[in-house]
Amino acid sequence: MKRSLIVVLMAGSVPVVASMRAETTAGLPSAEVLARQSACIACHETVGNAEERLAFTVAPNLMDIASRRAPGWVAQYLTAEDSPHPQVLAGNAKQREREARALATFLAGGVEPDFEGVEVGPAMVAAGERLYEELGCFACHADNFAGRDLAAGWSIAGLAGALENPAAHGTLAGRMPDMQLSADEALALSAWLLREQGAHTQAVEVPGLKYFYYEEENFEATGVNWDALTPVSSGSTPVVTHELGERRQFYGLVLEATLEVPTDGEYRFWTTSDDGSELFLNGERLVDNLGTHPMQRRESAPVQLSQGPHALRITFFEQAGGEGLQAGWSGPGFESREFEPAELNSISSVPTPIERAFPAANDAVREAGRALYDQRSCASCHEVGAGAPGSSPSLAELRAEPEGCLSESPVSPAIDYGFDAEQRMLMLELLRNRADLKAERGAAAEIFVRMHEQQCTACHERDGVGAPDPAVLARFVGADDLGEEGRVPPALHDVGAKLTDGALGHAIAHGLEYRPSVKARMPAFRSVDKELSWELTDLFQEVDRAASPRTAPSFAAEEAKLGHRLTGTQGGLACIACHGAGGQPSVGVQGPSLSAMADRLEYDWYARWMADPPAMRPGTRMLNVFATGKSPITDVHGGDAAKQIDAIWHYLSLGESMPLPAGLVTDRSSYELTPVEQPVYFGTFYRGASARVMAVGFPERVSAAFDMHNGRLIELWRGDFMNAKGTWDGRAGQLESASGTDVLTMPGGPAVAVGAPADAWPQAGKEAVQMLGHDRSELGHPTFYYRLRESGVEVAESLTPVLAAGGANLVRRFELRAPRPVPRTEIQVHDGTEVRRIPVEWKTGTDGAAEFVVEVQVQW
Amino acid sequence: MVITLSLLAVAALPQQPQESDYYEVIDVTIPDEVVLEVGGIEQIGPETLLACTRRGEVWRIDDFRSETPEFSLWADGLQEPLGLLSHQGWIYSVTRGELLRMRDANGDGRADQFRTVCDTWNISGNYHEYNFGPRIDPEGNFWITTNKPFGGEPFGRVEWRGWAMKITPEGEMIPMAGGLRSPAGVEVAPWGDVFYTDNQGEWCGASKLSHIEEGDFHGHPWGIGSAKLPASRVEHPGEVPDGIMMPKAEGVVPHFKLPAVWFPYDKMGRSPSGMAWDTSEGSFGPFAGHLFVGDQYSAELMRVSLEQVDGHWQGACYPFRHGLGTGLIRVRQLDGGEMLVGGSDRGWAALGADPWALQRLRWTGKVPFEIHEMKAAPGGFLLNFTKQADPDTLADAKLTMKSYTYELHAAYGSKEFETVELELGELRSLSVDPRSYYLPVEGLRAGYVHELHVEGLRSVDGDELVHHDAYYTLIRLAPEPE
Repeated sequence: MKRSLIVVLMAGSVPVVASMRAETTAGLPSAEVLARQSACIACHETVGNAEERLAFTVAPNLMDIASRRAPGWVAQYLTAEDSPHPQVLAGNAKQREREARALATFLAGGVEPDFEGVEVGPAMVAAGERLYEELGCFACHADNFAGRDLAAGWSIAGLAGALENPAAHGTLAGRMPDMQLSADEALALSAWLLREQGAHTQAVEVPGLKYFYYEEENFEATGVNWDALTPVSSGSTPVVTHELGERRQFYGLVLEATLEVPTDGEYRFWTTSDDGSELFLNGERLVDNLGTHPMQRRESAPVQLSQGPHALRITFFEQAGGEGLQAGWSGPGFESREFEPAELNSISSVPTPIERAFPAANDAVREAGRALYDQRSCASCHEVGAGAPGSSPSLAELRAEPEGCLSESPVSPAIDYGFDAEQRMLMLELLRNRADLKAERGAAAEIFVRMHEQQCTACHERDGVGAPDPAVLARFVGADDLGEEGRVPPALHDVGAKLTDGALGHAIAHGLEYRPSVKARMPAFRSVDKELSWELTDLFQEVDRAASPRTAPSFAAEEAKLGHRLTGTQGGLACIACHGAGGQPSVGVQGPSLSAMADRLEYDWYARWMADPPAMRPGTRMLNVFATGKSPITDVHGGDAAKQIDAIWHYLSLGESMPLPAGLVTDRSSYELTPVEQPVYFGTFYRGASARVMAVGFPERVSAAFDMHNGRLIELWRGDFMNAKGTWDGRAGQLESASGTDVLTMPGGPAVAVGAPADAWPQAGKEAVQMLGHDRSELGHPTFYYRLRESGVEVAESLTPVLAAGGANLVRRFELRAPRPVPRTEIQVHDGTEVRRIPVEWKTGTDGAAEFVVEVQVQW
Repeated sequence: MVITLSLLAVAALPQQPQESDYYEVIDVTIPDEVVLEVGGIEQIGPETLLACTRRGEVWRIDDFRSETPEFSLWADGLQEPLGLLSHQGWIYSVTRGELLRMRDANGDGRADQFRTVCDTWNISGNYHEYNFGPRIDPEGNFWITTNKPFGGEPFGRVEWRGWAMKITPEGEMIPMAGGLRSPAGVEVAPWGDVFYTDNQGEWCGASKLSHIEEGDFHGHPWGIGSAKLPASRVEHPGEVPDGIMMPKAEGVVPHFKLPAVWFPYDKMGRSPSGMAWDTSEGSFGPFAGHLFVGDQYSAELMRVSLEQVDGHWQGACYPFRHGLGTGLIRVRQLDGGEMLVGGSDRGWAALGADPWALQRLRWTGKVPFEIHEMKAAPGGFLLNFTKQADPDTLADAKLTMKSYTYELHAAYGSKEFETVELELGELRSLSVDPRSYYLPVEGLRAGYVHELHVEGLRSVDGDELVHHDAYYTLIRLAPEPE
């Protein structure tokens, strides 16, 4: 097997794949890929099948390039050492630079780039970086466009538009598949790709107000020192509103704008808010609507204003409960109303493309550029109104010698594609075997060429061909514990036999999201080539499908019922451990949904896969349930593997309307912990406490949670004890909390302390308290034992429920022991009404040790 | 109720020997109302077991060999206990947060005293922070292994995850070895050394059985930062290179410990867990002294033979008994030699028909024809069979071997790397034992799994091999005789 490096040269496109790995058994298809990507026949005419086989994608129309790219960028793009564009310039560095400038000047045609500004924040840039990795952009663009100087060539809005709809973009159309990005995703990606522009902003006036959004646990109701707070987010809003952040309580806003006062005269301003707000004009507070209150209107005294701009600032905060904010004014000729967007302006700083020095155009240079454009046959690849096709020899006339474009250092008018020795050899071989190009390419070779050309191979391996580079492989994001299956787009061996016509064609044309754990997104290739999906589908099927695949059994409801049982946990194979259904996630790792399979898979492939998954995909996580040819479920079809596989197929064919398998959705009530005769003990992660909590529910329907990590009673409650679903269902590991009512939270810190200051109780946990264990009495009541590390005081704290009118109470009994009395020892308890301290009065016990006992009934 | 799992017998050709002919599987019948997601098991009387569950309950099971064993709840509220040990009148267990001991002091059938032995480590609240053990060494120290978190770490990181700990009888924690990943089984060998099983994943290219010695780094860097704390007995190995062949890693990464046995993915389970040595001296069949390892995915019990070569414990693993009720988590040997296995498929899919199970494996008394032991020898391997081979079939037998290794890297799991088909010489009978043979092999490689496949061999009494494969992890080449 031969391994060759193919430099992909997509003439004229900007984000170009620098290199990719390809393996092939035959040189010809590799050479053909290279010839297509190099657009050889754009200059060297040919006819018949050879024309078909070496067809190339027409490079972008350059007529309107000036609206998308600054001429400085174009010049740099042509001269850069590592430019993806083939080297069409001639001479030494200085001459080449001159040529590039001439070409760029000609292409600029006096048109200024149309760069629309858009505001971006650091959060958007970070989101873009995340998306770049998650979506798998790096599979084709592994170098993250390093050295491409995108920031000088694109505006953020322009790039976002191009990514969102590549088919409509002058440069990307016909080359970049549609990643099906939302507007937000496209904007975030652009903000990251052009992040260098963050240091090159321009102040732009935008309609509406600029806002700063804050999240705090408490706002001073009599006036907030906004300068001391840090906003969570900021942006622009056309109107005054309170709905600018995630939270619906405990948030604040500062809104700022320039208010256009239409005419000299007397004006009054107002706010209506829940909770507090203020309105300032030119730094002076006109409206004080502070305090926590329901919607409340406050209006300013009349103020005399002159026509023109005035600085408006509105502040607002919402604690808990209802919320709302409106603001407006009245003045000469208009009644009181809210501010209108047209009256408000604010200044935003927006990133702009970085300008590269470029001498002013003059006609002589422009003319030189036009001449070069013709001379270098640019028009052969780029559709452009101006320029004439070149007059190169036809393919038939070329000699199979290392000359012209295939010489080691091509000299203009030959084009320097940067071919390495191996690639030159491949191209020479192509020329030598050019007679073979008259024949039609076989299906397997056609797949090879297509997969390379569309860069399917950047993500997908097929029969040893393609597959991402190991460094790229490592970047795919997904569920780690599914191995590569959970991160990396699947290999396409056998895909023509695996997928139904519809599913395969649809995936190529429209993309798909099928594996929930794989974050990389399959793009839609319809935008590149409308015919690709059915052509590739035909090719895959021609190569992969068996002459007479087994056909699916016709539907039988009884079999579907058996299949339903087999996929669940009750006497089944528990497929739901990894596969969800009907929109419900699986209970473990997330494999593809059962509901989506029948529409997608060919029965013949399905049956082979089920019988022995590792044989078809070594290393798969899929359970090899029928490894021995027998099922572990013996009472369905006598354990016959083939029959059970069929029964599951019948069930899968129900698609989205399949009844959910047993165990997929577990009834929360089945995890309810209900103490009846004995107390129930439950060890769990606990909300608001440590990950090591012992909850005790008493039959008296009163409960307690004790933090075993920090030696502290956390809370007491009445009614229902707890529900264990978060700890007992699937991989679990959720934080649990009290199910009942009347939750009484204990003060922080351990109950016993030595030398605590009068106004502060120590909050230290495990570092101050060593848990020793606990006892359970005959009735199952707990006594927790712990020791204060520093003083050596040992504590036995027991909890006993007592019946009381209106609901059971709990008695906390503390027994303290120390080798000798420890002065200033205190116990802090919440007795249900208040938190109080009990000074420890040590007594000498029978063994000479110091002792103290106290009981507190917590009544609440 | 006694169920003989004879699935294989129904399936295959009549002549093919079946695992069930030699080892029968007997369910311990679990009442419908008991969710016995077994995390630990211990025999505490001739007919009495204790089993702790992932739900934190400890069940006492009386008359466990009868068709209607009696289940009673002995304790509840433990936090995911994954092991039980009976020692000096106490029952020890390790939960997420502590090594504790407990007992029923008043004899009313429920535990009433729970005492913390050691809780020097912390947990952050990640579901994967499990602890396994305790097992006890000849000096009376307890051994536990701690699992590293997996997936999101919403509550931050804590120390000592992915470690093997020795805990003295006084409760002092001594972190002996680091770099563990998901060490689901820890066991003290009959000769006192400690071994553990680890599950393949990041930085653990293949599931393995490893010998734990003071100062070892077992390859996973997640929790190795704790080596910088004073209590650590492991020197920090520094940056671990991402993507290096295992045999090379030994020379590059300080204190890096290669395993005793790799369990090749899918050939020998996927998730090794609890284990037990056969110390019955024959009541469990011809494999006395061998180690039996459960697998949480494949619901099978695997067999391992170990030897010390050039100071390194290494050996081979062999298929043994498939078709158990669920994914195995614990294996213990009962008085009288039966192996007791239990487990659960909760959260991690497993073969087997049941969500949880507790089963006994009993030797039927018939000796299976098996590769009894594959041992390293100069220029090849020694192969011992459980019975003498039929000399007529010996000449025709087809033996094949390939060797491969794994890569140490951050990505989840490793393929087999550098696979080579090896040239084998003729199997030579050894005079010392008619069941022993020497197999010359060209191109043995240290640090590689040597996978042997044997076809066409019969015993003198006409039996075919029950299993045809053995996987020897050759870390050290056998020294040439002097």
